[in-house]
Amino acid sequence: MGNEIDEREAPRLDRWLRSLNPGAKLLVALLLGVAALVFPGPALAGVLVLVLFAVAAGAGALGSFAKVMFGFGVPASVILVFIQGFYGSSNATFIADFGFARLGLEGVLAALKTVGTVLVFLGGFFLMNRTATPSELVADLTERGLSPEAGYLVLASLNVVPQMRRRMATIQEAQTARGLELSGGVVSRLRAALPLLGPVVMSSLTDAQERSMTLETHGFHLKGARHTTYRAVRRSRADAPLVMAAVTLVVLSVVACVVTALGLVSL
Amino acid sequence: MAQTAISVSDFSFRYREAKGYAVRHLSFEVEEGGFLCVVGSNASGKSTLCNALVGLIPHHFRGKSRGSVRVFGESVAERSVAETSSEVGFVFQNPFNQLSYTTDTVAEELAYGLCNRGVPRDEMERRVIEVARAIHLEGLLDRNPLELSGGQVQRVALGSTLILNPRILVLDECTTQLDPLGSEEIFDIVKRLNSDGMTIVMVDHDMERVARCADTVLALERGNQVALGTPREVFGDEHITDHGVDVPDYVRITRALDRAGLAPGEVELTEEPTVDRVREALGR
Amino acid sequence: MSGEKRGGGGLKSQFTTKSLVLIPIAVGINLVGGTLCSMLKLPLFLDTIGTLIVATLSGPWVAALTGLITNVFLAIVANPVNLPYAVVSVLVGLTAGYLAKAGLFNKIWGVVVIWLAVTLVNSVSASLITTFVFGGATGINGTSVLTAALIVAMQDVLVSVLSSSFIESLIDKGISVLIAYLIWRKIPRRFISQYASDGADDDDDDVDDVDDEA
Repeated sequence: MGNEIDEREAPRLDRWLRSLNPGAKLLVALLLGVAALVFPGPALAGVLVLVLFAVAAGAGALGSFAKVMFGFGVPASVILVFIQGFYGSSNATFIADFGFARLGLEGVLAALKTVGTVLVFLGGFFLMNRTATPSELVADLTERGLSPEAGYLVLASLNVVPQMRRRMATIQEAQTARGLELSGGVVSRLRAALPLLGPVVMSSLTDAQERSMTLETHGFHLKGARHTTYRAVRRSRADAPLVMAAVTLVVLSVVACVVTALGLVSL
Repeated sequence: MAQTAISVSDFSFRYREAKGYAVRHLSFEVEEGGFLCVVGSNASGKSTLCNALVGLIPHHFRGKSRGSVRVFGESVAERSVAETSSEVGFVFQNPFNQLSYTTDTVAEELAYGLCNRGVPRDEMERRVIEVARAIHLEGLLDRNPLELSGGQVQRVALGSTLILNPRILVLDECTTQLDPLGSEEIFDIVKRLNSDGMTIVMVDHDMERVARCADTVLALERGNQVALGTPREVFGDEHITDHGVDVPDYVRITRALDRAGLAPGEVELTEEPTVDRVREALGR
Repeated sequence: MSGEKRGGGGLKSQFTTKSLVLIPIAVGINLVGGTLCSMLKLPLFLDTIGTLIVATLSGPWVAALTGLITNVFLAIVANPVNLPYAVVSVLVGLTAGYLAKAGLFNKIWGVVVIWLAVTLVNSVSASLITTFVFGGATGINGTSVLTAALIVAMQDVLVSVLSSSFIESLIDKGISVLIAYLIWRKIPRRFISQYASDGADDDDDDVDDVDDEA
């Protein structure tokens, strides 16, 4: 995923991101999201989204990053500001009157916070996916004690899906060549679903049977054996400080949350 | 005296909810370093036998089994498939279903069985290079296995089995889905492994190839063992085709020459003596 | 004989290698349902067909795990909003799995029961997440526009989300259950028996019928 760029020609920030430990990157992405979630109001989420935009820009990925972020952020903000801003139960301060309903400040802030928090997760995952392959991440987590079964489920799912999509496309070609109608009314399009999906499912079930034979004859369930990984996992001196910084941010957010909840400070 | 590698005794198996037995009363032995070819028409029980030799029967496939299958004296029923896999390697028909689906590169894929055994990384790297060299995969080590051709993937599948240093290799129609070049490549490797002392059990449809390589042929018909012997014994029996077993074309030709009185003599299994007999028949 | 991986269909016995390998395939079927919808330009998701098929083959917990992995996959690859809805997928998997285990997938009325149960579980749990985690919607699509319209009319977020989610689920799960059922009927019995989690194996058979010709 997104690893096509020649690493030597990539911007320095991009190379630095790639040099980080994948597990650490996952942890930081999750912690940033949690911090945005815990912190009262949308402010921290907003700041983190800006930081992530800056990192993406520095890593030379601004275009695709912005596409993903706006693709979710804009429609989600519109619909949530509408629902929460006009009809949120917490609304007390009204900032505008549209006739059919009044726009509440609390609802708008809640909507922005929700969207902002999702954007922090989205952006963090995007940068992680861009700079570490799933198998590298799973290798790292396996070394840290993730069960081989869990690792299998994640990696096999990622590898199987594109293969099945290709098979679906092949079957679509074959079935349309035989005269299957893919356009027309809703009912006729629905009828086409079964001849397209049926063969994919059937052949996949046969595959499942044989692939489980493969796992067994390669010692997947060997009792008492520790699993090792072939792939050397990247580590960097920056891993620990980054995780510590993210943890600190979460702690500060929790403090801010408690302080606000107790009414000591109002944001 | 060579050790007995495989010992099958009165083995029968019926898949759960299947109407009849897939194999019945199979009994035979293979000596270490031997080359057994299993022949027979579709649904004659060849794959079931292979599954039993690697322990997938009775551990993986549910059903009712009788008799025993032993590998170097140990019953496969009493060990897990994973344990048996250290001694018996298995390669079957569809190359893409023999990938682990958890790796990005051929090198990782080759090392898969070693990862499951907790082998340290530096030793894995050494063995990956060793196996890659033996089966001509050096140039592909960094490629994604899902993007290779069927023949290449089948070699990866063979390599990921060989890396565990098995003493027996079971091949279930492993070249059926490959083009002629791809299957010859696999086949040359198998012959070399056998001459280095590895015991081979192979299911194959190419009877010329069977006659050329096997030291023993086992013929099955609808789950029953109908012939067991050297290729000459099995293919030389004129009733063997009544059991749905194909014979090399050379057998048909030389038998026809014998019957017509043009070039009397025993049947031949391979190309050169057949050519000689045809020459004799033509009087040149 | 083998001694392992048998027995009364307990949690552990459902997770054989066979079932483990089935999960990524079922995740794939779930996600290919989405590809199918865009191929046929259907305004549906059809993202539970794999879960439903696995529920019939390997039982509730394997189906639940299929649902979980599907959403984790979508969260990582597509959008993190999918993560909280993993709860929904797990509950749908469990519901379908236990109902299938009770034999409901073998009867027409049973399939209708599965459809209604899955619709109910799906719409209630998804609505709770949409309302309390996300505040009413997660993007603009047919369902969220309907939700917004209902909110304007009824002035209640939860009831509106629940109503639109129920209508959406009723159609989407109805078609998914129907497709899963039609496919399930075509799967050979011999294949299914290799996956069934009940422990009735054949060794208790007294009659030695090896020599009977089938």
